[in-house]
Amino acid sequence: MSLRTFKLILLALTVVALGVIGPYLPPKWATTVTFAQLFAIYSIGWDFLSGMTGQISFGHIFFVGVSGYTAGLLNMYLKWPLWATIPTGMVLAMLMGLLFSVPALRLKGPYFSLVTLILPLAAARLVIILGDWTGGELGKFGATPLCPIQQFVFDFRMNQLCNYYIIWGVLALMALGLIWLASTRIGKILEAIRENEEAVEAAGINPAKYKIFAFAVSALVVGFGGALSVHLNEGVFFNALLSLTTSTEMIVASVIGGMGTILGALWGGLLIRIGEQGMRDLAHGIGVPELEKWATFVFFSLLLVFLFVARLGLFPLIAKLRRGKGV
Amino acid sequence: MEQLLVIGERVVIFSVLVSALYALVALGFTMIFGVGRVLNLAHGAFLMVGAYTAWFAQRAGVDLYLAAALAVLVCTLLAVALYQGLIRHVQHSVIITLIATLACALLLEEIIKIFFTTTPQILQPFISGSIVLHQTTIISNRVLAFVASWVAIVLFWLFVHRTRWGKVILATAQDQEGAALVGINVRHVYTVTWALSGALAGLAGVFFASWVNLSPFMWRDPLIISFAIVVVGGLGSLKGSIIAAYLIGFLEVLMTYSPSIKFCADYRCFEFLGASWVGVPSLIMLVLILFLKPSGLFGRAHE
Repeated sequence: MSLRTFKLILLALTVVALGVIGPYLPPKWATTVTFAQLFAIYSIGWDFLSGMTGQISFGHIFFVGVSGYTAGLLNMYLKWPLWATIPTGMVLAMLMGLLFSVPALRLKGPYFSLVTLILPLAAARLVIILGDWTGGELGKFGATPLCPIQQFVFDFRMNQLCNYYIIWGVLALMALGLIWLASTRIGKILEAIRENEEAVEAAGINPAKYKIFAFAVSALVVGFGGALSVHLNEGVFFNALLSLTTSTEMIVASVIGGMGTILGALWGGLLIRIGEQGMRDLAHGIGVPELEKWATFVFFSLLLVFLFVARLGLFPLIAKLRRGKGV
Repeated sequence: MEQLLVIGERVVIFSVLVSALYALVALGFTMIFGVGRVLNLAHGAFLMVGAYTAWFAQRAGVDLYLAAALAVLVCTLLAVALYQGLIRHVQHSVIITLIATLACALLLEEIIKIFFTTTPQILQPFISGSIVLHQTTIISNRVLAFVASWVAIVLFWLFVHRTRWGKVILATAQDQEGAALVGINVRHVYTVTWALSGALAGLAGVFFASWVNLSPFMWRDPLIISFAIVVVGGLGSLKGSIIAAYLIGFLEVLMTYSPSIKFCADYRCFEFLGASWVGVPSLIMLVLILFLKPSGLFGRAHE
């Protein structure tokens, strides 16, 4: 079995499992898993650029913000419908990715990472300067809801599941697309760039071209998530669209799951969001609600532990089992 | 015209004052980068820990001078612990170091949130009152911060250039392997630079609190300032850092007091320049210099 087939089988299992459990989840958990799937879209998008090429971006939330604010503001002020705002947001995120990738990729290692760290901070300033439109740090309510059914009938449960399956479908499609892309020649070249950029150049391939492509694809996927999140939250909110914590959590997800594997980043993303909610529940369950504040803390600690002892992450461990069995 | 002169005077005085503090903020960051090639993204968080330590001690009734000393001590220990416990093991990989230090910064942010909530806090000043210079009123505590910053910078310069330990650090910064060859224990040197950097950050944190309120997010601005200063001033150049600090400080203060131009439509307004633009010039300068001249204005070329 090739690695691609193996990954696709595991992806199919994951997607089917998420699809089957949907209706059985209690309402609170259905929302949690919806947001976990949304976050997994971000983390696989991040992984396609940073995990595959080794160019670590600290500021991928920037693309969530660009797409999200574009979609949200167009929807709220110009009354654009959903089918127009989401693609516009995505395209703009991709254009921003292209615009910044050209000069940013001339920078090596830490300088690249630091520039990406600056982008969301600069965007945050802009959002505050334009506070009368964007709602500044508080955000602004009033975007069209994601689920079209809600315009005709309002049923909380149905609406929730409708949101759940929209995000589920997008995640499945994006993951499928990225895993497929990663297994083509392009993916191989991106991985080769991570291992040894000079060698790629020596083979007569222009690494910059491929890195720019990866940047654009990554921004597009993350931007898709950003635009969806605005309609899911029914408004533009600073904490959802430009939080540096979320930006770093994309790295955490990917490191835990296995950088550059896409599927690992997907699992990592689900694990973080579901785990956070699980810890909150646990804190309340054992009667110590103060403990719930520690959820984010635990995941950043987990990141440090993984950086120390299992830098490859979860997926390669499972992939090793496959070889062990001799399939 | 008269009013413009008053604003000009204010901008000059305040930028002179705040820039010295900026130079102090960046000092530890520059040193670790110059000596060990480590970009410590937790540097701003060290400042935050320093400020919160002083605030907490002060609230517990400790004298502020003692509280400041405690802040310096705590930050020194924290920096050494971070280096010995984590960075030492991952230093060989630039990317892992960046992720690890950013994770530490966010961890410290979480800890502050958990114990002290996100409510902004105020650190009581060393000296209260204010001085009037011509037409500008200056808070005395900020003058003290200015003087203390310069004293710390000069002492630091003397330490690096006039003592044996300083020379050892310089030698390590220039050539790690060469230093090891002549019998310098490079790991000890790194530990000392981290300790020094932590101490400087703790001190800077206490004085930074004379300009801003304490909050779990207060580590971001000093980190950007430090990074901008290192990039503009060039790697490992103290002179460059101070010039860069003054350049950035001047632009920031100019933004705070510059008159703004308002554009309005449908009762919604957009302000061009003015106080909401604070932080924008250093970001723009940072990006421009990184793209156009990555070795900085005063730095040596990259190896």
